Amino acid sequence: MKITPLSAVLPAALVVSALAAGCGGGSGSGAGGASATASADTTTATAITRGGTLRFGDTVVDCADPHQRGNNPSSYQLKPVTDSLLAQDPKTGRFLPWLATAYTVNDSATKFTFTLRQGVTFSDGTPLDGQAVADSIDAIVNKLGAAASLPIGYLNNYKDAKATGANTVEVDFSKPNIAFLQGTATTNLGIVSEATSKLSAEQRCAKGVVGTGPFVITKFTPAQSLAYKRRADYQWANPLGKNRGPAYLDGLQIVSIKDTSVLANSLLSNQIDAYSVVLPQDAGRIDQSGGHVYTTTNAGYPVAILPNVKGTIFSDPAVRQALQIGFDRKQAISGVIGDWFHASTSALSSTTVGYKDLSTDLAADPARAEQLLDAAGWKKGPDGIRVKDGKKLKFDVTWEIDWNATSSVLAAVKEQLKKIGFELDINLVPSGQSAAIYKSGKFDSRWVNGYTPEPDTLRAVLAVDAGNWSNRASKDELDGLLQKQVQQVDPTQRNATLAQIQQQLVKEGYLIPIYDWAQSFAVSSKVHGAQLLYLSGPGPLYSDIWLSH
Amino acid sequence: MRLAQAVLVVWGAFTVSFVVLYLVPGDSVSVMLNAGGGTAVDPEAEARLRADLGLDGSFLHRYLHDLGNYLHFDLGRSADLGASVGHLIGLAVPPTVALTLCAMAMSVLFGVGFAVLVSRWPRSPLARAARILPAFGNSVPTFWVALILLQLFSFNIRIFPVTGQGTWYAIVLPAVTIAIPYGAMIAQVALDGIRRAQAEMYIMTARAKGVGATAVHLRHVLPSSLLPVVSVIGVNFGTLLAGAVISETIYSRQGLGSLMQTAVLQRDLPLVQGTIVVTAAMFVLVNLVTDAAYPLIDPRVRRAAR
Repeated sequence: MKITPLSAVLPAALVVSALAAGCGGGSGSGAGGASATASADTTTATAITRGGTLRFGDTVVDCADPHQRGNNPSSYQLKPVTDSLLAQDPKTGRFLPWLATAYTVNDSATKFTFTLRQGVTFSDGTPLDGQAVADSIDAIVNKLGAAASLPIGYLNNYKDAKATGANTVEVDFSKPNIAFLQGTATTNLGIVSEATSKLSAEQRCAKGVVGTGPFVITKFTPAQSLAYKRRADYQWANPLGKNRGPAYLDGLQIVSIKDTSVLANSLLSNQIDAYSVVLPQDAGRIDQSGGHVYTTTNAGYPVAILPNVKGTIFSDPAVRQALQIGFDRKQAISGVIGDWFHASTSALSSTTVGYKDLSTDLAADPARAEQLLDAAGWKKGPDGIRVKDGKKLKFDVTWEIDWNATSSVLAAVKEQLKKIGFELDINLVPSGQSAAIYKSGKFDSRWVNGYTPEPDTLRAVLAVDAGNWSNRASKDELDGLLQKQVQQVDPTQRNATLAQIQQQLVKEGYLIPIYDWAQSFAVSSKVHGAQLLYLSGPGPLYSDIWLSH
Repeated sequence: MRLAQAVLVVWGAFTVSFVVLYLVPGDSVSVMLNAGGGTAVDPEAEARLRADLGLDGSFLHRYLHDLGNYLHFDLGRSADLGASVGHLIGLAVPPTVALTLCAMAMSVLFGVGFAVLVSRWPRSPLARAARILPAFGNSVPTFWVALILLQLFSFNIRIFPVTGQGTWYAIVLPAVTIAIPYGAMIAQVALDGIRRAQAEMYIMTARAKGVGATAVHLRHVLPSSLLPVVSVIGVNFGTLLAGAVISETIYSRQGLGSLMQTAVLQRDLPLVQGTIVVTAAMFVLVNLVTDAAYPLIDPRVRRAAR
């Protein structure tokens, strides 16, 4: 399947015109994500002013390597440095040319070739060529290893990468890995220079990386300060962006603010221009002041409870199924977290490529849940909690780091589950200790969330011969499907397999999704042009942003 | 003798912290991979990462290896930040020292000044009302004070910046935040010292000789009441450092407190170890200095030592 430059231009043109049409005042708030890429600014066409420095408030990253730090909001800080081989259109899922003008995938998804755009240079002056790309990808596996935990997930069964010409590169895998293709459209596999690829993980962290991106690091002290200036010779912008040339901003500055509760007030008192991770109580105030909060549902698997089926009450499928439909997800999250987080409707978030709507299977039906439990022999005890063979229907949810009011969400779920006879124990453990607990198997369930948009993370996490986080004893139909999807090159076929996987996971209760993870980006009234491209990983398109004075 | 004790204390801090950190489950690799985001990592790759960071190896082997390094002033490399621990601490100490000196100066000024004024006119209604202030200042939580000050003087009235970097006056609000409980403690101790000194016979003698009330207060009462204040400064140095952790987070300042906090949260064992030992050394140093200051302030101690 070969994508020629011409056939790539057409979808790009469609996207650009769609964006222009959507520019007529659609708000950036994600209601599924279709409008997420539309800018909220209606004066874009006439009033763009160049110059100025965008001040982004956050704890400064401790490591300036986007391959080693990819979660929210670190990725907001590191996005400007690198570009990717491809870009993925959030509306259609199709891949658009960026640093690569064309790509091929063989039928077994083991060989990927890319033809590179001419005239692209890294910020240190070296050219973007086949060797640089090959080294950039190879370094992730052979130099960074586990330190690059997000990118390495896209390089399962990596064999090698080599330049097959001055401007072409080939990446080979020993087993099929179609997930790699979507990876090349994310910041996680952004291309870094040859000099950077030679450095050790620690050196890359301490000094930052050299990329082809619209901004260059001018100052970096880990956890202290980070500043960028724009590249004046930048001519190869993201195909989904409106600005085709160098960034409008002169520079970016990450303003060190460690306490998240003061971020909103810092924005309102004009000490910063933007920040990420908005608290629900601040969204209204920011809107009222003339600023805006952009939100979008992220792709990937949702925020969920993942049951441990070995040696716990979850070894009984009826218990898992009862849990799956035993509570109302909307009720659990409403008022607890921002309204840009939507209750899950499948085992993948609603904006993931390959998502299948299973809202009917996830609809709350406590009566049916109680029937299932009764039929499986779990009778209600005197305190309302069900008992079977002397064992209580009790389970813990174990995780570390209480992000996004997880304890409050779990408390709401706990209240609902009590009515049908479940007892939920909230088990927040100190940082660094959950890994040992998960390894020992002494937990009933864990709280999880997929950070990468690629659905293949379900395989990495659940397949018996991969992460096997549910501790299933042996392979079954699910494993077959998980292995199959990573081999399917044709998107329609792959989406069909993914649909089956989601149905299995929901039916069997191997994943209890709660809500779809979403990112939020708050800006003051001075900031315009932002859009959140969630399929490339968290963060806005900085080269489109401009400041009014 | 004192110096030998000091060295023993620092060695003790190193050993105890090493043992505790060794026993606590989880290290920076477990934190790194868990925060990495919802995907499983190959256990072989994880093991290789641990080996690279020097986080494997037997207890005795690591203990002796680290102790040897520390004796050469090599505090190891941060598992999380990649830079040398000595370098990171070296960057963090000056802002912390600046903040604690500023806070100490303010609290001595406020505390002693408050005590002198209140005890000079003890029967005035203002003094009577003001006597509750030290207790209040002592019990108010630091983070609450910090947030209130920030709200008032950074967001509402925009005098001070929200972040600690850049300007010199960014040190004011954090220093005031720490100075409130510390100054309250000093005020209480100073008031007590003054009261005791005022009851001494030599004060009555001075007044009988005709020395003015204010002069007596400042030249005779005050110096002898300062001894307990000096003790308080030394012993409660820990309060200053602890307050610094909260201030450094809320005011986004760089410093030892926030370095330690990040290191603990990230389970960055070499960095936690390094900050504990350096902090212990600072404690010991402050105590040595205050011990040496006693005879300088109070002639009675000087004479007793001869």
